[in-house]
Amino acid sequence: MSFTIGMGETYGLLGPNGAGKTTTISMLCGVLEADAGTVEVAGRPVSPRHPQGRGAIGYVPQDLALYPDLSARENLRFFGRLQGLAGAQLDERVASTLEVVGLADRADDRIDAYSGGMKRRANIAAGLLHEPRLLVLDEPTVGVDPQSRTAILDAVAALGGEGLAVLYTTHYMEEAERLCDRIGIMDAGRLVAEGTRRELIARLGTASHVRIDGTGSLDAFADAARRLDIVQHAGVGDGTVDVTVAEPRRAIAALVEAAERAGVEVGSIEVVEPDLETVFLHLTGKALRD
Amino acid sequence: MSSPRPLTALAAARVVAQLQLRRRLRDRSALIQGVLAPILLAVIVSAAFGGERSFSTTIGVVDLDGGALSTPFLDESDDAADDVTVQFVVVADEATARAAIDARDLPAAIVIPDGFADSLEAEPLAIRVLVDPGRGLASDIARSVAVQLASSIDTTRIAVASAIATDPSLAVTPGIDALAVDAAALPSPVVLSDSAFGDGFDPITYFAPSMAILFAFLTLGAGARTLIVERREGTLARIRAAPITDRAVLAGVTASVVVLGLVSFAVVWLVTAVVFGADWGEPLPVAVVIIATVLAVAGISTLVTGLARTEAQADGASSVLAFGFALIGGGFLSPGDLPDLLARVALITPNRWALDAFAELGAGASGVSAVATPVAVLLAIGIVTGGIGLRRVALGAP
Repeated sequence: MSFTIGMGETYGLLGPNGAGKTTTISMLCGVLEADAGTVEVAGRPVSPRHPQGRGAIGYVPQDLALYPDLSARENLRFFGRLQGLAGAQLDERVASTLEVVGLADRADDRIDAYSGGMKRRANIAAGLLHEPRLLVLDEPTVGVDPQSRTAILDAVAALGGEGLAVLYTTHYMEEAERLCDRIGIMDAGRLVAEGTRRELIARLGTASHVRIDGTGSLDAFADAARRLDIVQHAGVGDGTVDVTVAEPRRAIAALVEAAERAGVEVGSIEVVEPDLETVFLHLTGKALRD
Repeated sequence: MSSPRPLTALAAARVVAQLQLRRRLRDRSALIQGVLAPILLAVIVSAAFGGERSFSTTIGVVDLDGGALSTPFLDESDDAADDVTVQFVVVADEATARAAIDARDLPAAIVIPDGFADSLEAEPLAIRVLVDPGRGLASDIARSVAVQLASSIDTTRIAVASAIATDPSLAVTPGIDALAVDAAALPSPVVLSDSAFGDGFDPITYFAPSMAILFAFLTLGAGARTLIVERREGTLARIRAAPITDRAVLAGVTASVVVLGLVSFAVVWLVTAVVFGADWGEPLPVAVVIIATVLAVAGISTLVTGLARTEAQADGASSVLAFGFALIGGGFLSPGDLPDLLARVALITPNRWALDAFAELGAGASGVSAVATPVAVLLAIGIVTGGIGLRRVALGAP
């Protein structure tokens, strides 16, 4: 795989579990040696043999990678020192970063006293502390309440606007559509497509997307749908079966019949405008949440 | 703002080590496990094992023979006043003695059977010892006294037999039999130290380092497991994403473990010496042995962490090793009390080598050269196990 992220650009890396996103991030952060090829951030090589290059990267892991028994300030001071910050510069960066994520008034509280959303914000703060050139966010909104999620997305959007390059991995298509200037779609360790949202959707050509909402064995229904000549792709979503077809009018009757045979009670059928989910289904043959 | 300058490996290791120490000291587990527990246990074990200077017990004597053989016991008790630690008391019969032992009024009793003195001329009757299995030391003393009595009688019989062989006319000397019995009844020395520890053994001096080593395994094991915990919690991934090398991270964690072990050991040394009068010996060689011991324990703890797949595995293995090594290596038993096989197996434990060194120093050995061999072995254990352990520690990707 090969991709570049420009300054001020937010790049979304989409892929189901096992697609290789974490491995890609590990190589990008210079912790895992790539079998072949190179990673460069801000013009400097990054690899286990070149750890200095990591200084240009701010890494925000999916886990809350903070010490729960220390305060947010103590956590940030520690991670800041590892980045080479010291003295007044460290103090200033810790204070300003806590301000940015809205935790200045709770800076000296232990992390384990924080709410889930506050922990997430502190987690992001630790990645921003040293003013990196590239911010790597690994599914930062997993398990976050809607209010905190909105706050995090706003913050990420603002960072991109300030000229920071952002690599954002997520399971949530709507996050990628909202935040990302360009999107790379990963499957089985490969980058299967890359481009802006518009470019990716254009890859679908004239195909239409039909969403069938129903109850019963949706997997069996999706299998049956795939066997229909008129169906290009079919995958199971959240209580739906998403199908890509060339001619929706002709396909609907066949799909309803297939659903009945699979024992699925159809609640609704709609022809929807193609989105990244459709693209993902088209490219990988499976839904993003698989 | 100017870009931060990446840390040197040494500076990065120091930052990591400082954080680890701060967290360990803040949660007080290190204080409890590394300082309070070893001191407390050393004092308790010393009191249990080493109270021979104040140990006293009373052993029953059932003299069914009615002769003079029980006299030396009773006389010795009466005469000894403050210095005697073993008292003997006459018990009327064996049943009474058994009842007293059952009631825990007596720990043991020696039974001299009826007709014992007469039997000495032919086939001597057996002296029986009744013991309470739960009171091992007093029982051992009773057995020792009985053996000593039998030995004394045998010696007398051999002397009389030798005299008669030299001069057969003595065999018909009137009163020769009674003389032999009287001779056998002369007081036999009852030496408590035969049944306990050797002269010069100071329990607190032995058990203070012994317990410090035991708890060093637990304390340093917890420190070494930090890597597994941090990997699970994700903080290790973030640390590794910083512009520092993995070696610096490992060095920092290892340094924190070693410092914690040294401080723990030093405090145990100071407190047991000042408060409880433990005589560890010359400070310099003691410090050298402590450093070598901590390095050996840290190495083994690192190896355990490197081999374990989970935190629970590492925790379990550390505990088993800590107590296993303490048992085999002499942590709970005095030197020389172990069977030969175990004594040989003990040589694979750092406990044995460290305790040998501490015992040497406590007994007055002077200079580092006096403990050069155990120190060299301890350092070798630390370097080999620590080296393998560090190579095995998989830091894992973020």
